[in-house]
Amino acid sequence: METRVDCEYIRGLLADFSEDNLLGRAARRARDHVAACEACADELKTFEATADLVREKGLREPPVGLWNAVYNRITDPARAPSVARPAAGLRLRLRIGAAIAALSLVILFGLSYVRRPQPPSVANAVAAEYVEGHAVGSRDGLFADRFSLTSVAALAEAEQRENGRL
Amino acid sequence: MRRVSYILAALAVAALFVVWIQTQVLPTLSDATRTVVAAANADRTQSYTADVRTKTMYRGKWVTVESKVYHSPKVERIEYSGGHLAGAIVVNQGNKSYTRRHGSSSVAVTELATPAPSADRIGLLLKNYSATPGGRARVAGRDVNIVDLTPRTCAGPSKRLWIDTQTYVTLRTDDKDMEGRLISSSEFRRVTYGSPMSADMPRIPSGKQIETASVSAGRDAASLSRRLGFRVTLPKYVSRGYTLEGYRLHACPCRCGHESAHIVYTNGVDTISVFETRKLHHCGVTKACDPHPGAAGQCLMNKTERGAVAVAQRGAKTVVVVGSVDPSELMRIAESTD
Repeated sequence: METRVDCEYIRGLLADFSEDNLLGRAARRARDHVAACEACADELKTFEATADLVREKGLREPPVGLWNAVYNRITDPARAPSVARPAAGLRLRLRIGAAIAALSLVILFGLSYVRRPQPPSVANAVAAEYVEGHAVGSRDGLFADRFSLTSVAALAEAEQRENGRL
Repeated sequence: MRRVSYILAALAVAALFVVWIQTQVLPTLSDATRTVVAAANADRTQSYTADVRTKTMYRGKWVTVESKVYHSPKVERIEYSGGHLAGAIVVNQGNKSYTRRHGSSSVAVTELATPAPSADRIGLLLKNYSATPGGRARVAGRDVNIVDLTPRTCAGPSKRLWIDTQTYVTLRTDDKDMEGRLISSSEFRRVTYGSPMSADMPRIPSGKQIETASVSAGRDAASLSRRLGFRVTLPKYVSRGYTLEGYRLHACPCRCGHESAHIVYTNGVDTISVFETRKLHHCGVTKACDPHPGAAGQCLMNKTERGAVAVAQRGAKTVVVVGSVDPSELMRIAESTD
């Protein structure tokens, strides 16, 4: 019993089979399948008819300079955009797709940021209170810069005031 | 024969090197140490009047203040004339410091833990810091020896001192954080030694109200525990080189009556403060901390040039640690407190 999978596989071989380019097991399998499958036999007939037509009309050499012309058009920077540029409808779909992808990335990044444990932070007012206490408590240390520590204590107290603690 | 002469020449060079080390390098190092020891005691013997300029980095900005200092071995008066402290007066007398701000009707009193540099504190300093000579210079028209105090073991804050070659008074102090960045500098712009202090100079600034800002509680945790209503305990872990200096009672400058236990550790130069309090929410602040979802104890951090602030909830009390060491160290200290 021939299956659809067999047909797909054999049709991939028919071009070579029609030109007797298959050998051994592959050739045998193609032959057996075509003998049993009407659809693939029709497909083989199409390949053979095309090949007969080509032989009938004879091979033609490409015009001189065709290769260079094709190469130049591919590598011409002025022509490159027009060659690569998709149709207007496709461009619009690409733009919408890109926008959706970017938006998805932003949302994903935002979610991961929100869900990630935040770097800890003490409210400035609380930190300022204890920085002030630390500065006051450090003033009588050996070689402590009492002028600077007094300044720090005053600045921290002012910071507390600004943050609504006082 | 030639080989023997080479060996003799090498031995002679080695001997000269040893002699150079013994005569030049070692005495210089010990000189620096001797200078530091003398400087630690200089303010107990010298009288002077000086103009001082101080610049301090705070929250990323340099802040400069000017002051005039009247110093005697028993009392010191500092009058601030420039910057955000303009008009403020500080009097240090005995083991107390009195501060009155310009326009304020109250005087804040701070009790010093140890009013004089003891041999223990100097020993601790020399144990944890190496004193190295940094050359000679002139400050305020005086010849000075420059001495660098750098931590012997792990990274930590450091100091550079400019010490008067005659009187050993420290005429300039530069403080650097553990990454070597300058965070403050105080420099005498003019100094006059032996200048007599007028009779009213040491007078404690008057105020309608005397406020207690920070009071030394000696080395007694029990009295602090009774006052605050919870058990004040020492952290099980403290950074290497730091030893307990004492307990203090810290009153919030918000004047709402909120108090914390203040446990002070020092390595001779630097200080780590451990505060213990029942709650952080007071004086109208409802959101004292942003919770840290990843940690069980709601550990929080905040950083200034004078060090980081680490907070950990430990049972019924909150522990706040402030210091210049690595923030992870502060957190470790906070979390080691029962």
